[in-house]
Amino acid sequence: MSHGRAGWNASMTSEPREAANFSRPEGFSGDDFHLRAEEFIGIVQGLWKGWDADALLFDKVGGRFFDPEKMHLLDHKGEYFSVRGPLNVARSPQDTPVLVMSGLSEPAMDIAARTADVVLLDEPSIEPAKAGDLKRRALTFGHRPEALKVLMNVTGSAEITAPDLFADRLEERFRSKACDGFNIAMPFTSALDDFVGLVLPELRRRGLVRSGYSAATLRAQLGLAGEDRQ
Amino acid sequence: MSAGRGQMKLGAFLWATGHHIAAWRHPQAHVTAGIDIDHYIQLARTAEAAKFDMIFCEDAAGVREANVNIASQTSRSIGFEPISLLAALAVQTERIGLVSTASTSYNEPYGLARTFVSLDHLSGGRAGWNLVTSASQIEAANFGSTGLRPHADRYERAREFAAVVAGLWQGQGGHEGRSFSARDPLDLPRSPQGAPVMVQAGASDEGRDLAARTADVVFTAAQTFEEAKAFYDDLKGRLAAHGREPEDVKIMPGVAPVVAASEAEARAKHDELQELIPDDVGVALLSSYLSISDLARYPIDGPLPELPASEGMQSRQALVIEQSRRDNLSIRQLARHFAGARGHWRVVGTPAQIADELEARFEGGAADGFNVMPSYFPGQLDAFATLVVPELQRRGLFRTHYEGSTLRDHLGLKRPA
Repeated sequence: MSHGRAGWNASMTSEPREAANFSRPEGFSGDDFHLRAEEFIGIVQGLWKGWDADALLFDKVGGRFFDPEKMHLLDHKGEYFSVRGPLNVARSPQDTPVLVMSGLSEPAMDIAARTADVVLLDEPSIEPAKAGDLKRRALTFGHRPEALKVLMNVTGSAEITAPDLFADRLEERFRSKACDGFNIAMPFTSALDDFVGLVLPELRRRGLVRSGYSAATLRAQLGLAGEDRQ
Repeated sequence: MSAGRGQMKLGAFLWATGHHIAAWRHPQAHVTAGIDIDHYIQLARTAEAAKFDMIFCEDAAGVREANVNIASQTSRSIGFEPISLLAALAVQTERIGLVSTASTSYNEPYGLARTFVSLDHLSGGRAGWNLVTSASQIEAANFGSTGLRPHADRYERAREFAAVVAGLWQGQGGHEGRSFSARDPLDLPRSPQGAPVMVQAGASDEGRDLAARTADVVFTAAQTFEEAKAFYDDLKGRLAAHGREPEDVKIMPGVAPVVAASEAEARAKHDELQELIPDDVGVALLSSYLSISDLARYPIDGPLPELPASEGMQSRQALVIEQSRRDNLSIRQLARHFAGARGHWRVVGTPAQIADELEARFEGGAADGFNVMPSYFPGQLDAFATLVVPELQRRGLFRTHYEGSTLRDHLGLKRPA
């Protein structure tokens, strides 16, 4: 519907309160949670590839709507899930929706390095080494480091009164390779207006942020088109 | 104005290229409908301009046909997930109701209650949920290894599911039951229309009982006036036991019209569509309605074989069998007949003839309205909106403007306490 602009943030934080609303008052054990999440993400990515990009023929006269060779069953039978597939939704215009992961604990780092397109890290806890660590792990799974984008969660309100200082902070993080970009948390609407009106122009002046959209899909916009991470 | 029962309700049942199984092959069908949001926006605006009560979307979480060669000859293996679709349509429309199917077998009540009340807020009180228990093995295979639950188990789960959702929509939490628990209330305020509208389509005895207890709208398949009337009277008769009034539930059978300016033109249009159905596709669709897998091994020009009772859609199976015996139809004839309208009531004719048919069932007390299933899109929705609706309006049988802003307003339903 958005012509290739969707992404899924697979949160890796186990919330007992949420579990209690979904018929699991006992929650998940730690190991169980991560193994289940890994299997879940693998299935979702597999389902997203159930139809080849050129599967739909739309051949009215020949009576062939799609090419049967280009539809693939998943036939997944795992520890937690059993899914035959395929989806009854066409292949994504951006190949697959962008997979974002956040809330990473140590066991989730490898899952993210192997499967995620984008990882969100929190600013207060971040060491510059963590982004490098993720990219090294990605390499061991056979991916190019550029195929994993690390974004830092930053709260946008505190320093809006000093847009230069805020821009300095982002620039320093970016140039030191602590991250590939930022996910700016906007605690209230005017913080977004201030960021767009004050901080963005400064970042653009420094040549750190694009001035317009260069691609149609989210995947291409992030520089992830053509990367196969699965 | 009509001197009889007031005005009928109308739903616009959207389904990609059309309800006719071969619709996508029709020269005027929009063949890329299943991947084209602009197509759906256009349909929604057409339905809203004609003052339909609601848009109605079906759903199944899986490719409906197990045989890939059959599936590849139809357009229904591809489409948008309907709740996402309705969220997009909510911001492109202002008044029309937005109803989507969702399964009690493959969701959790907290998540689904939250999704529908979100849709209700972002549409200003126009959302509805068509509760289904999901009768197909194909969907079951996407949600675990245990297969389709038996009919009675599905309904037991559905009863609890519906009760949890209704409670959450009233701001309650703290449910602990046999299949589900949900501790908190929802993280959203109360629905702008009190609660989203509850729609149901199960026509088995358990389905009717659940509808009598919980539904605001009942969607049903009825070929003849007598079937429609019997269903209508039975369901309305069950309401008192649950402390409900007859007008608390609107019964809206499906109708599959093929409309054109002249009767000859409408017949030709219908014949053209029937000719486009490949035999193997028709037989496969018939098999799925009968919940059996091997109808293709019987002679296509012979009668329907004796069938065992199934765990699938019991009510639809009975309907097909009854029709085959009544009209002495071969498998091929039956397949074409059902493939065309998917077991629903088909009316082919001029706007006046179609209005006559709808009026007779409405005034005869066999329906409170109809869920309109155009054979192909956009052409047959356009034709119904611009030819049949004005005829119904002229007769005082349908609104000329929206009286209220919510789906409950349109349907004349009470706000829940």
